[in-house]
Formats: sequence, structure tokens, C-alpha cells
Amino acid sequence: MRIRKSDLFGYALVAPAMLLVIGLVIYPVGEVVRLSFTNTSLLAGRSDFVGLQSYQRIVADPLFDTVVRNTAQWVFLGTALTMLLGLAIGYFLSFNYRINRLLRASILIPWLLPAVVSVAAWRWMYSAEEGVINDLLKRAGLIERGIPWLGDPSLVIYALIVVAVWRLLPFGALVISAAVQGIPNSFLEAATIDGANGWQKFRYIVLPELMYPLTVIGILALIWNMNDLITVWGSTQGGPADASQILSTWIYSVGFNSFRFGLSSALSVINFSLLLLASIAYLLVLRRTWGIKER
Amino acid sequence: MTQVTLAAPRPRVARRSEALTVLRKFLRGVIPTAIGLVIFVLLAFPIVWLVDTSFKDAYAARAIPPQYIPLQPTLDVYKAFFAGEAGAATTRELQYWYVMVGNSLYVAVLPAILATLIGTFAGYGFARFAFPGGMLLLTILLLGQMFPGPSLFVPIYFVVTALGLHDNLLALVLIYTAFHVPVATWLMSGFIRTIPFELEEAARIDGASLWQVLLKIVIPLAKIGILTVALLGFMAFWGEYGFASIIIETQSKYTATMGLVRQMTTMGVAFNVIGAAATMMAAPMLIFLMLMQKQFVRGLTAGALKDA
Repeated sequence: MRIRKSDLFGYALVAPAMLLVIGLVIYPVGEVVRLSFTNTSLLAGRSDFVGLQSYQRIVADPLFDTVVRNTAQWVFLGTALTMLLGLAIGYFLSFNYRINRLLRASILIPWLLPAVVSVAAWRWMYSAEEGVINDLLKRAGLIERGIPWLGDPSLVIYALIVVAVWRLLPFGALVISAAVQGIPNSFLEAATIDGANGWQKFRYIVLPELMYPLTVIGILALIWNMNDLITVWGSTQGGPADASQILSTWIYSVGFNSFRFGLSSALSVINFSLLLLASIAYLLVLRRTWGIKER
Repeated sequence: MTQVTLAAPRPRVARRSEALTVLRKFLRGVIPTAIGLVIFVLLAFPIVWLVDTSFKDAYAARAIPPQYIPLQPTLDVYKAFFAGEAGAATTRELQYWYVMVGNSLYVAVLPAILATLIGTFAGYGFARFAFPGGMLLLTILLLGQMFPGPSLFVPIYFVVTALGLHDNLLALVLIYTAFHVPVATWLMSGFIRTIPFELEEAARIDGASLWQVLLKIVIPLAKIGILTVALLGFMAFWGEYGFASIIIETQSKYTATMGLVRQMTTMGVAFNVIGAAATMMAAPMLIFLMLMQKQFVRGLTAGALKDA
């Protein structure tokens, strides 16, 4: 094949991006797979090939069940709620209510703020004694004593899912409202003339048009939730008694509290395989966006 | 052409009492406003509450029941930060606050600029040049978008150590740039595709080089996209915690996020101090949202909605 001058220019344009991504993302992914078959430990100063031992250890770990359950709830509840509430609020935002001027101007705030700021805010609100949530519930007469939202092992993961959803749903709502506004007015007018009520218009005209943006939001939320460390680490570090431990915090604490890199790598490979599945779904959805235009 | 007049659909006027119509109109105005206000409060309250707490002294912050409006608002906590003491003796973790903020600016601004530049070039390459192997490179890049996260903590730690950059802010600049390049490339190639190709062709016919086309035509027309991509980068790195915490060890090299998390994970946290630190970290994002919300939202939704 003859390489044209414009081909060379094309390669030159993408070369820096490829070098960085291959060197600092793709190569490390390979490296973590290799490390997962070793017993590398910084404290014990060893790094020998041990086959699947790290994986066996993980599955045998009493924490494994908790982490699997928590991570499943974290990812699926978090993603489903982000999509559902994003859809509801986004549809609401697409109408010309006067209040929406205020909402549109402020909705991005939770998503835009550094995660650590939001986590600090929620942790403060969840506080059992001085917390404002408990105070409001007491004033409403719903509870008598403060609920330890982050201290109760059966509540903590749900309390933290609320924080994650609160942070992600503005992005979903914004994308949905833009998509709704992109639906040709004539569709909705025709439906009105045909006598469709509000629900029917939403169900049969708006919703089918939103399948593509909803899928994108869902997959992005899934990836963001899988990769989220700070929401849990900044509030409970996986506690109390590992009740809010998820895959990301487990990787972090095994790797950088006990420096057992072999184990941490095996956990990373598990995390990364799940992400790969999500990525493939993402790739399939986005193919249309990514296809290179033939020139 | 003769004009065709369509019979307007006759409004189905039901015989309702005047009062009911007025009530319906009223409810139609009030219900959305009420729902909208509830959404607004749910979205804004956590941040407002944290900012509110930062204006209290240590006693008022712990008051039970909480003081919704500080009885004796004070700027003491903020003053302590700028005196370099950070809450006087209470918080060793935030001692070097202004140094940490400087570090955060360094590792957020530089990678945002670098990744946007590299991503603009690559995005242009992928959007306009169908070179052999392009699809493969694009796929690798897209996969690179998924992985930056906890899965890479261990290997990045090794790579950074091998490069001799452990405990060095430059390591963060490098890895943040690499992490943002895939998103930047994807969004920029989307934006560049919305620019009519004819403009570039005309310039080429007039004798412009490929470089000149990129610099004089494409980049000026993709301004909103470039801005969005750079701001997304800044936003991500300004608050990044995981990688910063495994690479940086010396306290004077901490980023503000690291300082804040260390503060939050110690016993007996003082939330007026945390509130002040968090408010200062939120400030750049809030200011920028006020200044350019419209352009940013347009850029963001265009990126997510682009449907070939």
C-alpha cells in the first residue's frame, strides 16, 4: 500500500495521544495482569510467580461475599437510579416552566464540584448527633433518636449510593433534557391533535427517542460507579466493620494500606474485566458516533 | 398556488364552572413550581449547608440542634487558613493549605491544557484522515477511556517509581494528561466533524498547508469544544484523590484534595474547618459555572448526544 502524504500527517496528529495512552494506560493494564499472578508484596520484599494463588485467596476471603454484594448494589442501584431520576428530572427540565430557568442554571453544581467536596457535605449531613438530616426528621416527628446513617452496617451502603446518585444525576438530566428539546415539535403537535394525553406523548413519542442517550448515560454511570473511590473512602473507608467495602476500596486498602500488590492486582483484574464488559457495550452503542467518515 | 385552509381542530370546551377553570390554571402554574423547588433544594442544600457551617466557630458547628443560620457568623476559620495555621492547633492535616492549593492548580491546569492540545490534534486526525489502521488506534484509545481508576493504582505506582517520579507532582501531570487524552480526542473529533469540510477544502485549494488548515480554520471553529474539553479536564484533576494519594508522600507536596481527605479521615473532624476548605475548593468551579454555563452545557450535551 502506498502511504500518502496526508496519511503521514494523520499519523503525526494521533501519535502523541497514542504514545501517552499506550504507555500510561494500556501497558499498565498488561502489567497489572502479570502482577496478579505473583505474590508481590512491598513489605515482605518478594515477587514470585504463584499462578492463580491470589485469585484463590480472594475467593476464600471472608470479605469476598460482602464486597460482591456491596459492589453489585453500588453499581446497579446507583446506575438504575441515575438513569431513572435523570430521565424524570431531565424531562421536567425540558418544559418551559418558569422555575426551570433557576434549575437549569444550578443543576450542574453537584456534578461539577470536586467529589471530595460533595462527600464532605453529605458526611456532615449524615452525622448522627449534629446531622441536619436527623434534625429535620426529628422536627417532622418521624424519629425520636438520631439514626447513625453511616454507622449502621445495614444502612451505610444505601446512604452512600444516595451520594453517588446525587452527584451523577445532574449530568443525566442535562443530557436527557437536551435530547427531548431536540425532538421535532411537529411530532408532539401531531400527537396533541390526535388527542394524546401527557403520559401517552411521553411513552410513545418522547421515550423511544431517548433510548440512545439513556443507554449512554447508563453505561457512563456504570463506569463512573465502578471507578469511584472517593465517595466511600472519604466517608467511611469501607466501614463500619467492612459493611460499605466495595471493589474499588478493597483494591486501595489491600494495595496501599497493607502493600500486598499481588492480591491488589488480582482484584484490579476482576474490576477491569467487569469494566471491559461495560466498555464493549459502550463501544457497540457508540460505533455510530465513532465511525470515521470516509473521505 | 391556491391557499388551502385547514379547519382548525375545534377546541373541546367542556362546560365547567368558572371557579374550576381558575383552579386548574392556578394548579398548572403552582405544581411545576413546587416540584422544581423541591428538586432545587435537594440539589443545592448539601452545598449550602457546608458553606453555612464554614461561617461558624467550633462550638456553633457542633450545636444540637444545629443552627440553621449561624447566630454569630465568623470568618475565623478562613483567616486561620490564610495565616497558614489552618484552624489553629486543631488540624495538622491542613497546615500547608495554600501550598496544597498551589499544587492542585499545577496538577489540574497543566494536564488540562496538555491533554486538550494533544486531544485536539488526535481528534482532527481521526475526524479528517482515513489512514490505514485508524480504526484500531481509535479502539485502543476508546478502551483507554475506561480503565483509569482503581484498577491502575498498582501498575501506575510501579511505572511512576520506575520513572523515578515517586513523590513528584510531575508524575501526576503525566498520568492525568494520559487519562484525559481519550475523552479529549473523542469529544474533539465529534466537534470537528460538525465543522463543514468544505471550508477546509477551500483553504487547501487556495494553497494552505495541512498545518495552516488546522491552526487557522479548525481550531478557531472548534473553540467551544476546546473550552469544554479543557474544563472537563480541570474539573477531574482538581478533585482527584486516588492516584495523588499513592504517588505523593511529603505533606508539602499534597494536593488540596489530599489534605481535605486526610482531614476528613482523622478522628474528631471539625466540620467548620472542612466546610471552609471545601468551599474554597468549590469556588473555582462555581465561578466558572456562573461565567460560562451556557457554552459549557452546549459543549457537554453536544458531545454526549452526537449521533453520527
